[in-house]
Amino acid sequence: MTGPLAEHGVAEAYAVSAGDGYAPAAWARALAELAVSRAAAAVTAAATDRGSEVLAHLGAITGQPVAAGCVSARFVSPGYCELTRQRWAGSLLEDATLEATLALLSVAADAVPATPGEATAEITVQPFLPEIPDADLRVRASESTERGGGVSLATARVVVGGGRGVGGAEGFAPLEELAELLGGALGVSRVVTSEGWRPHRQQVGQTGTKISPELYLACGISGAIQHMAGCLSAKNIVVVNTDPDAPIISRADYAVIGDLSQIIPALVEALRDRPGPA
Amino acid sequence: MTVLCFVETDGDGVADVSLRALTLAKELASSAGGHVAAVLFGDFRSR
Repeated sequence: MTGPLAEHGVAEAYAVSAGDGYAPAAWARALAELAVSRAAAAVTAAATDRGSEVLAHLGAITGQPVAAGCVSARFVSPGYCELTRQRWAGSLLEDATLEATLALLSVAADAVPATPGEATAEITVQPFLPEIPDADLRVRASESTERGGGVSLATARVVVGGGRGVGGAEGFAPLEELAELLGGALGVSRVVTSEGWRPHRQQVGQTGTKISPELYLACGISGAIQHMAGCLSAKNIVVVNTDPDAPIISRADYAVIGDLSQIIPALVEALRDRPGPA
Repeated sequence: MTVLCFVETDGDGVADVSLRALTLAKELASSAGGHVAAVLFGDFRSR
């Protein structure tokens, strides 16, 4: 676990015990205590659901401002941080100066590549046991639901997407199997969750998850601007659609004009027959 | 000067999004001659 951290130049890490399971207020309280004890100047987190929620609590606890969706940041003097951040679902970039004794920044992970730095020879891991008031443990996750074989939609290297063109809840089985064969995750458009075909946690887009996979295979998705706001960071977009005029095709690297109910099962069969791990 | 980075984990270990957050944290810390400390929740050392 510490290997990737060392590869990214981290020499110091803290293992925090703050209750069983995810407890946003308790985790934020722990970060606040740690920030004071380390005289930290900033706290960063990926702009995921958890990262954003914990930073929001941390802002409330410390009274410090949170800058969301940052793509770059630097201190220009103590307490002053110049940053660039995404606004309007990433459609524009804002340059701003954050004045704070503790700068709280969520990172637009889809726009910031993971860049290993000078690796550290050894990483020191220290336990940290914060004092957590009972009130901060009132909201916590006691169990989690399945997440597509453990691959997170936000971090998947391959995402297989399905939209209205899938036709109904029963039509997603081949897409799920394809995602599994590719070691990826299933994502869907807003109309799919609105129809109740799939849960909201699988929604890609402005009001869902922003993805940045190596491959986004979008099947039966027209490409509304709200959906594209969540997937434009994909390295490669491949579209399967019967409509050659669908807006998403203008954003695609490759497009297959055809019926997904024929193409996807054929692709699944080909991958099943491939020797070795898919 | 320390910049703390909240690190999330997934089934494979450190989540890729957190490695990206670390990249920005390093940029921020180096601008002030500081360093980054990763913060993880739970007993990740056994994974």
